[in-house]
Amino acid sequence: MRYKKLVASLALAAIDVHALEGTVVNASGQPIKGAEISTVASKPLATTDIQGAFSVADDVVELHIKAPGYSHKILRRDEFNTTGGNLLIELASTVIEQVDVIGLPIHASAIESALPVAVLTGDALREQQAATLGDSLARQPGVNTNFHGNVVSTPVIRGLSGPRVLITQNSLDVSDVSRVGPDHAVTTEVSTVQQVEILRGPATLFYGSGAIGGVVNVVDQRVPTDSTTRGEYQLSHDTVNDQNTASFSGVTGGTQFGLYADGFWRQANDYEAPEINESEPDEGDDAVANSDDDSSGYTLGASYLFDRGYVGVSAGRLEREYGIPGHSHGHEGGDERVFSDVEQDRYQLLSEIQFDSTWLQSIKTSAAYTEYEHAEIEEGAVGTVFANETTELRLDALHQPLQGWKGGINIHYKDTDFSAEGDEAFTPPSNTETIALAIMEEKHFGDVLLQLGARAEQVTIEANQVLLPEIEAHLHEDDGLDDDDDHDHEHGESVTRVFDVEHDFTPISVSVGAVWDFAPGYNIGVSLSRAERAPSSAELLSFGPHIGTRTYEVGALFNDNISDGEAEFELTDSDIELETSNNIDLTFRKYEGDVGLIINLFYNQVDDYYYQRATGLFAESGHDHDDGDDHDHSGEGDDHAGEDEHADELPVFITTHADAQLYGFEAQAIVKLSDHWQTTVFSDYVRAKLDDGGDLPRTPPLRFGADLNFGGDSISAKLSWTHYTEQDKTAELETSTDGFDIFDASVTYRLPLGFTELDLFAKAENITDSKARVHTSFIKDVAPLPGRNFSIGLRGTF
Amino acid sequence: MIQHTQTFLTASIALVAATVLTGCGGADTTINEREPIVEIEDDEVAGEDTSSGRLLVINQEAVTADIFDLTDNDLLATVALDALPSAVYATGDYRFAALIERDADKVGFIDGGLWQEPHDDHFDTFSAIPSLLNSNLTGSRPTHFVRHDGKVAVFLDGDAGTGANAGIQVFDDEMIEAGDAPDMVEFTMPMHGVAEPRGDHLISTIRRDDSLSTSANVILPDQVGVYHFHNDEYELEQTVEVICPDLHGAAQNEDHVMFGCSDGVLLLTDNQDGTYDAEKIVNSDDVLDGLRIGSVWGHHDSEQFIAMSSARGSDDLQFFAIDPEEGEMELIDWQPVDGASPVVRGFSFEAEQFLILDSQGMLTLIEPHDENGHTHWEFGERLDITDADVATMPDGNNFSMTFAQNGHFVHIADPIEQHVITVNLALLEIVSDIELDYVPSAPTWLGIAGD
Repeated sequence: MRYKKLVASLALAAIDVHALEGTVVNASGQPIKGAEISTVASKPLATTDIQGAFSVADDVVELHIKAPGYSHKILRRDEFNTTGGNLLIELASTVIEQVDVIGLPIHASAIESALPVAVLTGDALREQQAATLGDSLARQPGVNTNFHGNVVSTPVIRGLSGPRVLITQNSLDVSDVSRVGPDHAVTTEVSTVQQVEILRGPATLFYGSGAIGGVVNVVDQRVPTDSTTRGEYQLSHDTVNDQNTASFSGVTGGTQFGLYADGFWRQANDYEAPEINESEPDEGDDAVANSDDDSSGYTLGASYLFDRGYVGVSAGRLEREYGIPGHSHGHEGGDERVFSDVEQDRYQLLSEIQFDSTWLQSIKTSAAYTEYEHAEIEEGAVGTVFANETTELRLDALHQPLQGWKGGINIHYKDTDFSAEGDEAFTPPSNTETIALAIMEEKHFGDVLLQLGARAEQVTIEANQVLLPEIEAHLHEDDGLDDDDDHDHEHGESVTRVFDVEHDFTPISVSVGAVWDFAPGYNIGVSLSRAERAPSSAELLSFGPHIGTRTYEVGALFNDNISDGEAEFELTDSDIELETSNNIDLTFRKYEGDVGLIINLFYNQVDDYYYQRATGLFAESGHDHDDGDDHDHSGEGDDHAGEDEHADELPVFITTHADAQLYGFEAQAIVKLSDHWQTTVFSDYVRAKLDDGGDLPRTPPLRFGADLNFGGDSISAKLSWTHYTEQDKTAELETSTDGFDIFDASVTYRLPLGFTELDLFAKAENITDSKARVHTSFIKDVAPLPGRNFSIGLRGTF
Repeated sequence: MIQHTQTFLTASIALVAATVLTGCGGADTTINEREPIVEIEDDEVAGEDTSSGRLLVINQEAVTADIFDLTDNDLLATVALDALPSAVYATGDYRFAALIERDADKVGFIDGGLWQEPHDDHFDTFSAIPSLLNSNLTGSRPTHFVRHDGKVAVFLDGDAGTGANAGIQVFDDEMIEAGDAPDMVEFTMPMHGVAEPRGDHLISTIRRDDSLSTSANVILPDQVGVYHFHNDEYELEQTVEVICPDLHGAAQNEDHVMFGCSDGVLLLTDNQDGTYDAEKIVNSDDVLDGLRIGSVWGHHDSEQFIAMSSARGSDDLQFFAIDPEEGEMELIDWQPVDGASPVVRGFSFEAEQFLILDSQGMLTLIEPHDENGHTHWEFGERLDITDADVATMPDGNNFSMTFAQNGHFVHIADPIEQHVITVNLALLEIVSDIELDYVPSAPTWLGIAGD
């Protein structure tokens, strides 16, 4: 890597007099080649040679040493034990891959953080990658997918999703409308990224209100930080949906500039699954209507590289045209085409500069401008157009270590213009502006690392077209047949009240964490946080039919007043409160040797948890089709399924807030059985309920599973099993979901081709063709997981 | 299919009520209530909108426009105007009133506040308080305003004095609402012309070079061209070779477009393939010497056009029915009373009559009669719409009339009696009136037109 060499040689040139020389070895004293030596700054200062030797300036406060297959080691200056002028550093082998978490302002690997963090990268990422982000991460501990018919999915972290889980691209908001509806795509492409980082639990400190449940940060090299020429490409075919995928990404450049390009193309037909419709069992495999996908995208980036850092820009475009499964209203013939046409342009500016100043160590700048638009098209006509235009700026300024304290401040500005126009524009146009200041500090006290942080945020939501229509919502308790169901419109005046609304929120988050290295290769992490979240504009201001969730959504700004089976909606008298999470996380890690173990326990008491309460009312969807088909929801699974007389009605849910608690665990053990064999077992669980009784909807069930890996010189293979238990802790109007097992297998053959690597792979997924409905999915009853799938492909790197 | 009708808003405009829901815990909410949107659904009447529509009346003294709800003749709003318009027309879908300020080179708009929008298999009806739009059209000397099938073509005559050339601006109600720029045709010289919008086509007059022109008054064009709209612009696709000297006046119906010429009328027949055949119907012997056809009326429910011949400085005036299929002009004896001079003419709703309102306050109904397959237009009935002495007509004023587009009604402004009356044409009776304390002018019907 030219950049690294450049920095290392400059460092050497500068410290002729005060060089710190050392050697990195393993437990048996063998030198380790290619170990990266860095300091608190993220950039490697040196890389060990074949003798395991390195040389850096002798003014470093601490050294971070990492090498593949070995545990990440941090040596502080007072631990430098040089014998004969040489610093001997011994690295312990590990089965837990330790990768730097780029999304954390203070760089650390996943095992060094008080907060549970997981990083999916390298071969593991390539193996897990799916067409959508949620499905790619679905087997990570604590993470589920809200599987939306193979075309869209978003990660569910510890039972939380939507406005509580932030999706970022290089730490900047992904800026789509996926937080507003489960049928809206997350505009990231996993096939071209470098790594995906998952922060479980409140991460508001780093990312703000939208991250109270966690963050998924998708990291790529769109702004290259070095110019070493390298690249990656992949071609694959899947049988279950005739999917073809091609992707590539590459970096090159000169001594002072880096260039980046990536691109992908994916085309898939409707996927097949067993017993799609529960009401028609034994019908064999059939295709899930409107689950096709036609996507492509590209990114170009360039950066200027200099001694103390880099600055670069990138431009990316994403186009997707995907079916919206579960949207069709059970039309006879089922060939009604409903799809979403997505376009997004993303521009990013990223920079990180190191300083020599006595107080300032580095400034990391991230800025983005993103334009997103998607049109939902039904029967050839545009129904609804959603748009999001976001401008964002993050500045992370880290100070020089001060009496052992490392840290800095974060300044964060984000402005989002959201709009929805059309039949299903259930939420009004709004502008959300956020400005925040955060401070993060950490210090070692002996074996204990103390991490402190606080963040104050100002969130303003403005919407001048908030609509409160008069709707004919009624209870179905008396079957609704006498409720004037011919909808007595005769000369009825329908007045839609219009409001100009401004919300101002000042959420404050504080966090204290500690990591205690109580024995070599072990640590215990504790993280206590109190995080506040401003409810999103959709949670506050919605009023209308949301076909993606098959509900009639009413925001927290409104209240339902029911008398004689009819409801009247009015402005709520209740306060609009901040949601407050009081979270404790306990983490136990064993990360050296042939057995790795990570256990997380969490308890999250959330005050004023915003959730959608079933009102028991039903309202017309207002969603008519011209073709005169009988609208028949039978089989679509909600509790009024099959009531044809109400076929075009949706259950009314109103967003309200109440205290809730979520608790559970994640556990993962990795055991190296021999030089070639390794096994992993994992389990996770979350219980999510309201303090006053009642369960929160779409909470993942208890899950456990195991992998068996074989790693040979040219062949590697993996067998995976995951068991999802039954979920019967359900919210109102929600049905329970049966448990199921999924078996997957894969084999990869590596062709030795000199300087380049080429892998041929074959995979079999859901080998037993299991009937699998995902409890976290909004459309579990019409879109189960895909049936048996075989895929083949090739993957190359250079 | 759901049918809708509309009601009107109460006169209360934009109630502002601030509600602070909470002031603690770092969360504040401020809510201002705005003017509501009113929509009325009606399952009772199929196929016909029961809305009576709205009526705009200009108050010249106060320089305001009053908009009344014709359901009960209540005043909905008084809109202050920048200046008195030289003419007022309803736009393509009758939602807006276009205020022509010819000498100020501008066209302003008032939103009548009653409109429909398509929604699945039906139309939703919307109702709002009328208001003056902020956006205007600008162009040199906007004059002839032609409305057809949802579109409007405003002909800008241009001004030789300022060097401004003629042009055409074409737009529909959606464009007005969105504030979009109109589609344009620009000419290279001034012209007192006219253009007929017709789907993607625009049939416009063309002024030739003075050395070629057959017009006695060369500001009047003598040729016609067919423009086609594609790639966001109009292109001249066909130049009609049949010349029409001193062209003035134009109209169209289902299959034909007609222009008035000094020697007859120019008739274009739509071949339905983007091309038009042209022929000249020369003045019949009944056309009095010195008169020429300078105004033409057409209606999509009438196969015949009605044309008026007149001459500057002459009191003589004739009406003719022209059947394009027969290619002949037939004189209509409209039996004018003494001193009567037509002030407003036009086809009524569904072309059941041709109406002539004259300066004596007489509303004359010319009615079609079939005879052996030939349609004659003949004098039918007449209603005296005023009890006042027409000699007391305030200077510079006259009777004026607007045609309801959803029923057999006309609304006539009477400057002497200072009221606007509604005439039921089926009964030929005055059925209501709106009493005013000012001299009314330019009544304009706005609302949702019937099919």
